[in-house]
Amino acid sequence: MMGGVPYGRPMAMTGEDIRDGLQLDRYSARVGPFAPTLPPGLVLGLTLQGDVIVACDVLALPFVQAREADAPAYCAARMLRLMGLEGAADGLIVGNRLRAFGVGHALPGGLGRLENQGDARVRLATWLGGGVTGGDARGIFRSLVGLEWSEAMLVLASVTPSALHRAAAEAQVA
Amino acid sequence: MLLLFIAVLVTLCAGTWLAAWLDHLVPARSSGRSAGPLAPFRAAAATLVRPRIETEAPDRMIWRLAPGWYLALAAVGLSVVPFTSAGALLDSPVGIVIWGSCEALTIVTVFLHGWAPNAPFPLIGAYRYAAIGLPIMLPSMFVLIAAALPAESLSLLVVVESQSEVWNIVRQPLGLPLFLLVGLTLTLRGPFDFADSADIAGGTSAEDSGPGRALWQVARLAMLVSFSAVAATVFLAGPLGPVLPGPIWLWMKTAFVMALAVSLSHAVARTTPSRMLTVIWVVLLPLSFLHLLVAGVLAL
Repeated sequence: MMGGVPYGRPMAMTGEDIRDGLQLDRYSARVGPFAPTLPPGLVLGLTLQGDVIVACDVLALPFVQAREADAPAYCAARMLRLMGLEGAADGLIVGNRLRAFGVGHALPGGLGRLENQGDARVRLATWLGGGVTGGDARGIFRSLVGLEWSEAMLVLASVTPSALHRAAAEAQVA
Repeated sequence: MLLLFIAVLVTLCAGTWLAAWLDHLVPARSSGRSAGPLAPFRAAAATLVRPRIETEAPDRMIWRLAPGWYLALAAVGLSVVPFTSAGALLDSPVGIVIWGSCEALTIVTVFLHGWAPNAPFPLIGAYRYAAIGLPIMLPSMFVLIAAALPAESLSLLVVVESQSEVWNIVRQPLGLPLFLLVGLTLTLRGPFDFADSADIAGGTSAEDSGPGRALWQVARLAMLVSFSAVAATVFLAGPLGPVLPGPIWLWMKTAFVMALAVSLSHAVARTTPSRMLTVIWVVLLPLSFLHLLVAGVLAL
């Protein structure tokens, strides 16, 4: 017998690799609600091939955050932490200037492009300059399909928590 | 012999503490906090008292052994480093090859450390590290072979002697920067940390806690010590220097390389793994080959 849900978890079965059409193992799991890389509360039902996301459902919404969580410094700090710049992120929050190299070039161009708000690189640059952006994240969960894990985490961190909450609510209804 | 054994042990322990302190100090500085010399011990104690996590159906033997292997590779790597111009603990005619095999086995160890817990994030970290670690071995070998060319020997002792007139960092200015990138990969740091990074919740260490986690972190720092000592030997003439005795010079140069590696790891952003693979194959690899070519022509 193949497939099914032995011991309460879906059996890892092969499926078409969405990038080149080869047959590849698929791994399905829930991630959240307290996964350190996701916003608290958010539960995603994910199917992965290697570290490429091939299916993504919102199973629970992220918790509503205090309004100051949308502040540019906090938003930029979240992205910097994903890039391994823990110290620079802490510095940004206490109001210091960014002391790090390669922050712009580290993000692939075009990653997480949203209508009228540019891509993740543009939004990070805007936040670092103290500007407000990333307030509309409609369709962001659909756009995760086909991305590698680290890219997907950067995309989710490239919008404000309140926008992500609204987008998650919309994705859950759809 | 006994003295050299003690020197290796003391260097490994004191170096690990210094590396841990620098690792606390550098990021703390940018946010205006302070980190005293005891900060690493507090962090270690906090990790040690936490209970151990069990995942479902892990490979327990490998999970327990992986940090020990990592530490052992760091110790073997350091033992080929000459502390005086008279000799090293492992006085081998192929010291560079021994260090190279420690580098290669580090990839295997990190992979096994991610494999053992039988959990998704550690496994993603393990495969990522294998993908990044294998191509970064090529620049590493080119750089080390280039440094061995003027000495016409793979013995680190002879490589040190060959720098009595002019240091390799002057003769081969690209060597140390390229080798530093290799070091960041070997010690899972900053822009080259694709095994234990934040986006996969700590990667191969995501399911580690308690003593196993503490030992893995110690091993990472110990590997940084060994890497810095090898870099100081190969590019900064190791124990050679005026007035002061050899070991003091080696320690100072090792600390310098270590500070450089730690600062770099906290100051440079990490890109995505696939982008980094392109950078390694398209930029770093040709660059290191060119470096070897130039070093070869100059050595003729």
